[in-house]
Amino acid sequence: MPVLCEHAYRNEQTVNYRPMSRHGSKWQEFNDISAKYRQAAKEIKRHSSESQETSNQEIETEFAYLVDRWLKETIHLSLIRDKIINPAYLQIIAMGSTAVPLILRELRDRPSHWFVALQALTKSNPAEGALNPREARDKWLTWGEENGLI
Amino acid sequence: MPRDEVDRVFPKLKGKDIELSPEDFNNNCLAFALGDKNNWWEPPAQYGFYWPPGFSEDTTIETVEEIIRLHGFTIETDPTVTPKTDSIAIYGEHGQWKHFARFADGIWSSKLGESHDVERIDHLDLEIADYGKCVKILSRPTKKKKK
Repeated sequence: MPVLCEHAYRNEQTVNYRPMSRHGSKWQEFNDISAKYRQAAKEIKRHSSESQETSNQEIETEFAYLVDRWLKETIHLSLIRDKIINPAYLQIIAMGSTAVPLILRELRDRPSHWFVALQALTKSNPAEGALNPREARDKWLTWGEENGLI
Repeated sequence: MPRDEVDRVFPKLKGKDIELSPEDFNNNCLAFALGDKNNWWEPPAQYGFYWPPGFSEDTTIETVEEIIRLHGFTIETDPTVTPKTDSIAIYGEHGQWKHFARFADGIWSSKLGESHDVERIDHLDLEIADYGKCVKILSRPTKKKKK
């Protein structure tokens, strides 16, 4: 962060410095410095936003890779108990709360047994009492919509 | 699961004229074998699973055999011989079940996890590492002819 500030400061070439009096020039210097810092702040914000976008893309790519791997290795298994100990599923849980909206979207678009991961990550269980996976899915999607996650 | 993926997981099905239904995550092989397409049978009853009340919440062959027998599949038959009546094949290892297939109307079929139902198979084609061996077949008794 400080490096970026310094970079922005050094590259600011336009100095609107008009000494009117000794006292006035101090104000002008202050204004100039303020402008430079505002510019630096803008650059930091833009850079941070770009980094965030890149980071989100990386997370989504990793998530998609893990989902594909999980499905490929476990879709034919008859027990969810066996499916959820697959390393790819555990890695998705290890991604933390950032994975929740991605899981909910996946559940909406390509239904599968995400309920264990969702419960672990959100510490909620809106699907409690669901009679079958379809009902559990509906309840989780409603929860996701209500919480602005999908 | 595309056909080539089915063949990858079940090499003995490769090149066979089988039928695949649409995928459905709402039921599993045990439900399918018992004729229930609206539930996922697995203990314990949570996360939308169904497990019949009164039975141990475990995945032992012993417990599931009790459940299957309760549904009328009471005769144990030779796993290497084609059954004469509707039957259920139990796959597993170390006393734990891993999979089921059903025999009805003269054909074997099975539900592959969250994926397709697969029809017109040989039940031994499903013996893969993830399912174990076909350890038991339970059949319905032969109907007695009315005099």
